Amino acid sequence: MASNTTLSAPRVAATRWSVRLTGVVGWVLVGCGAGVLLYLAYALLFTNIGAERAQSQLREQWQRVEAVPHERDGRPVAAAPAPDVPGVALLEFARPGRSRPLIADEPLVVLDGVTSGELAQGPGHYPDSAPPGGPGNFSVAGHRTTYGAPFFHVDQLRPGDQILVTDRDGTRHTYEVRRQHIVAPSETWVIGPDPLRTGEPTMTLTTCNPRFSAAQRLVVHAELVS
Amino acid sequence: MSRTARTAALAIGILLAIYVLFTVVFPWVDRQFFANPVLG
Repeated sequence: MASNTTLSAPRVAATRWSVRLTGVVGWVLVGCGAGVLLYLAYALLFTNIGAERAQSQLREQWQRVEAVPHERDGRPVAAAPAPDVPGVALLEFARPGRSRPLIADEPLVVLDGVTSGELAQGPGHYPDSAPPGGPGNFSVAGHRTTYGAPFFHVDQLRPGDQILVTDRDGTRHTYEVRRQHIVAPSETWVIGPDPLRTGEPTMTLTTCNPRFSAAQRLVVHAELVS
Repeated sequence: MSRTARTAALAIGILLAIYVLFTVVFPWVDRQFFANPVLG
């Protein structure tokens, strides 16, 4: 027995409206999904490409030292980057007894400043902190993920590891890791003049923690040993 | 508006939207919520 039911006009209109709304909601959700995928592509691919290209160019400029000795601040400089090359230092990591690279495969060029533009090219030197090798606390921030993720493996640093810092004059300073800890983003004392309270020249690295989040900061302190 | 013109306009709109997302929206989202290693 076949039933032959007909819908009233208002009910037909309501059904059509409901179908249309479902379609719109569906397209909005598709758009949101596409946005999330695009963001992941941006964060995990696009930012890395730009940062790695910038670091590679900076490294090449830093390592193309001037062949002719020149003077800076009245002092002769034997081997250093040309004055117009940006950056305050070259950063390398080493663990006594380990031949494989630690933290980064290539030396990292530290830029002067911690704005998003500078950090998009590599680690940045907090402008109010000490210069490399100088008295006080030479503090450096770097991305843990995205933008080349220069400090992705910084959590692997342990007491006794070395941070080798070559300044613009070509002088190499060796810092030894003393402490690693996690702080809130507001705890700026870690980049203050003497966070280890030893009175010795110090270096501090800061980066995001945990990975893919900016909820906390991972901090590594090291002390100048030579 | 011909179908070709409509398709071209749609393609340009999508490319423009992606450009704005990659140069304005995503960097802002990133700075605010995910990638800020600076203290203070």
